[in-house]
Amino acid sequence: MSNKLLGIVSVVVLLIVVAFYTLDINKNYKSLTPQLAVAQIMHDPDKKLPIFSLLDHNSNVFNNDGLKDHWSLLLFIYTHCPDVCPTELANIAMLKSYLEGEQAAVIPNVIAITFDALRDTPKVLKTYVAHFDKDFIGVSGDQKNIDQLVKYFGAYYERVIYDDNDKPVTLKRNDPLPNNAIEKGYIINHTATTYLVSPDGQVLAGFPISHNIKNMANDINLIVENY
Amino acid sequence: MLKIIKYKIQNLILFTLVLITATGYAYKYFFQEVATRHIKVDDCQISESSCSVSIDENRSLTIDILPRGMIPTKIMDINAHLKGFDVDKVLINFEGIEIDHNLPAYRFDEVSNGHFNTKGLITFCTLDSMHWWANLVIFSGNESWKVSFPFETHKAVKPAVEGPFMPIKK
Repeated sequence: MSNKLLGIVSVVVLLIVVAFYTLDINKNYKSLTPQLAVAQIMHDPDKKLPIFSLLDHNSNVFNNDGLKDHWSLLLFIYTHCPDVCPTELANIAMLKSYLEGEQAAVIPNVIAITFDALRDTPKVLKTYVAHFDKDFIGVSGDQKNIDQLVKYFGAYYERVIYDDNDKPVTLKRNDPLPNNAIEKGYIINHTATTYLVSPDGQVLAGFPISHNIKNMANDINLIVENY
Repeated sequence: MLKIIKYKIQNLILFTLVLITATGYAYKYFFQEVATRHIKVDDCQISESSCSVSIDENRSLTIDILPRGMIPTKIMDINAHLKGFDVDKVLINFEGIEIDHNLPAYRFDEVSNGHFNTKGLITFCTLDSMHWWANLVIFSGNESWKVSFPFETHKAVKPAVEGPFMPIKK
């Protein structure tokens, strides 16, 4: 190998190594972890948002485009949830007011997707989400599409019905609800995390329930600055 | 002639250094594996008391989660005392046995030598009794230890089933 060629190959390999290392650092949101107060970094560049098509609370199509070109806070809810979901939405409404008051660079859209498409029709969600904030977007639609998103976000839910003796019976994922389920009522055990989604549809972080509003706002700002 | 040999040697040294660096990164990113030792603790309920585990003659740990009971969706103060570990990082996550689902992990901060603390919670809304593992994961160089502590969260009363439920606006 000639001296010149050897030199060029060395420089090229060195540049590739440096580029690879730098690229990895830039995309490694986990390096923000020590500075984050409440957020958990969930970024996985290998995971791509699946194609979905649902309905917003005005019965308009809500699909992948609904998460494009702006930041979103996305959470899964159901309107018959006795405590956690309304508390979580109320906290997110306070967070939004706080970010607006602080004139934050980014005020994320809030997307509340129901686990429970059977009872939470767009009409039901319209009344429900507007109670917390007029700009919140409630999303319902085909349960299979919802389940696909639940899986993508790493969330989980299971339905619990009550038998004639009021004993809880947990249904498996594909078990159908009994015919009288709506009449008798059922609850849903579920994970409770709010996800920060970037304008290109990547889940960057999750906020466990019981948020401290100020900490959450600071974490959002930090992640947005490093995007 | 001497100048040409010197130039060749310089280039060879540069090329070798680049090659070693590239191989190092390639190994780090593609081949390096962390050997995990898994210890399941079955004689201590972490929701009821602190739990201590001896790993070997030199290493032991104690974990304490408050408040007792480990109620889902309530913030917990989690303390770990590690003795004899050269710690890179320590994590804890909660794994639901019935639901076969891992909740995202919390990373501990070192507050003093061998004493680690984090705040965490079981981000799962349920009214049923459930069984869980609290998995404490300690990373130290190319080794890691996953120490799993069992616990149970308790059933709450059945709520009214009519809804939707909304808080009263203030």
